[in-house]
Amino acid sequence: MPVTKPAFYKVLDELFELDEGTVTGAERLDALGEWDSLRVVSLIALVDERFQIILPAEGFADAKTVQDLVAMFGKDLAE
Amino acid sequence: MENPMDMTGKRVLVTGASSGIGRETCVLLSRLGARVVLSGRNMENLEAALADMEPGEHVISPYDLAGVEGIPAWVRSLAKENGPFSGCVHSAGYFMGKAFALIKPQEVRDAFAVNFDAAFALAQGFRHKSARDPGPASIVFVTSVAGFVGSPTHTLYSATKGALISFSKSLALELARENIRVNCVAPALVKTPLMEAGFTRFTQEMQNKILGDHPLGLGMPMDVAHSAVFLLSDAATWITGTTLVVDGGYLAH
Ligand SMILES: NC(=O)c1ccc[n+]([C@@H]2O[C@H](COP(=O)([O-])OP(=O)(O)OC[C@H]3O[C@@H](n4cnc5c(N)ncnc54)[C@H](OP(=O)(O)O)[C@@H]3O)[C@@H](O)[C@H]2O)c1
Repeated sequence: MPVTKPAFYKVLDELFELDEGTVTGAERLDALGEWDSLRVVSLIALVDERFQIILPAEGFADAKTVQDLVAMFGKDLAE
Repeated sequence: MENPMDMTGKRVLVTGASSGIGRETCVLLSRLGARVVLSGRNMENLEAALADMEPGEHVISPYDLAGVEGIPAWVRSLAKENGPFSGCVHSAGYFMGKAFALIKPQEVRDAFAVNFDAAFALAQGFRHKSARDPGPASIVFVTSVAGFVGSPTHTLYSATKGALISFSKSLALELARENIRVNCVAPALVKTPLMEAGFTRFTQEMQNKILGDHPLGLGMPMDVAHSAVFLLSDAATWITGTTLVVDGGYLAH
């Protein structure tokens, strides 16, 4: 599946066990739930599984917002 | 000079032969004189493994172990075509690290199919009188230290590997009368191409923690192959129902 912003936000809904459509892109991570190393590892696994993209773990721990995570892809994601 | 691990003339089925621990096990077996049946899914990698081995009566038989139902008949057909087996190493398997909350029922079934159910079916095929050399025989399952100790995100993987360990004990008792020994090897982190690719993506902090947990450093596939072949060989004649931990000191903590 190609990675787009909506597809990535859906992954975040799943990651934080939120209803589909909850994450809209403007959130801070601490408003979604605990942002810890287990969550980082899980997100990397989900991104690999859904988009066949393997993101390096370095830098994730410092992310504060959903857009910080979007930036981890190192490219613009389609809206 | 006598070599207690000599495998001359013994035919051994190795799953996961296309990569990592299984591949090195095939290489070592060939050096010790065994005839090896190499199995995996990736034909190119199976051929590369064969090219690394000492020449001998080796054959390649690709098989997707997710097709568990067909495994016993496949093992028997291999014996019919190539001659009976006296050893089997089940190294095929895969690691999955995922938060417990996110694991789907289908993922549980898939993981158990290859890591555990396939081992069960292999042993059933192997012990069948049409598949097995009447002499002493040995089965080795490659499990993991994750079968002994827990770790967040390892719930499913640990369960499949722990299942192998307890299965091997009862199986050892049941098959002793048939002159078949059953054991496991349990590695900690081994440097396989796949593992190394994943490792470099960890943060430096995560890498340091993992390295620190292995007092002798990370393992090489051949370190595990040596232990697997030891358990196959006559040097281990009085060993059954056990799990040999090969972990650079990981579990000594
Ligand atoms: N590496 C480690 O750090 C480590 C640590 C503890 C335990 N282990 C265990 O050691 C064993 C070997 O690991 P490894 O690191 O050597 O693995 P690897 O390099 O990733 O190779 C895995 C092997 O399993 C085979 N395989 C996977 N799914 C299969 C399927 N459905 N049907 C047939 N073959 C299948 C692969 O074959 P194809 O590629 O041809 O499909 C490949 O030969 C595994 O059971 C693993 O759990 C590894």
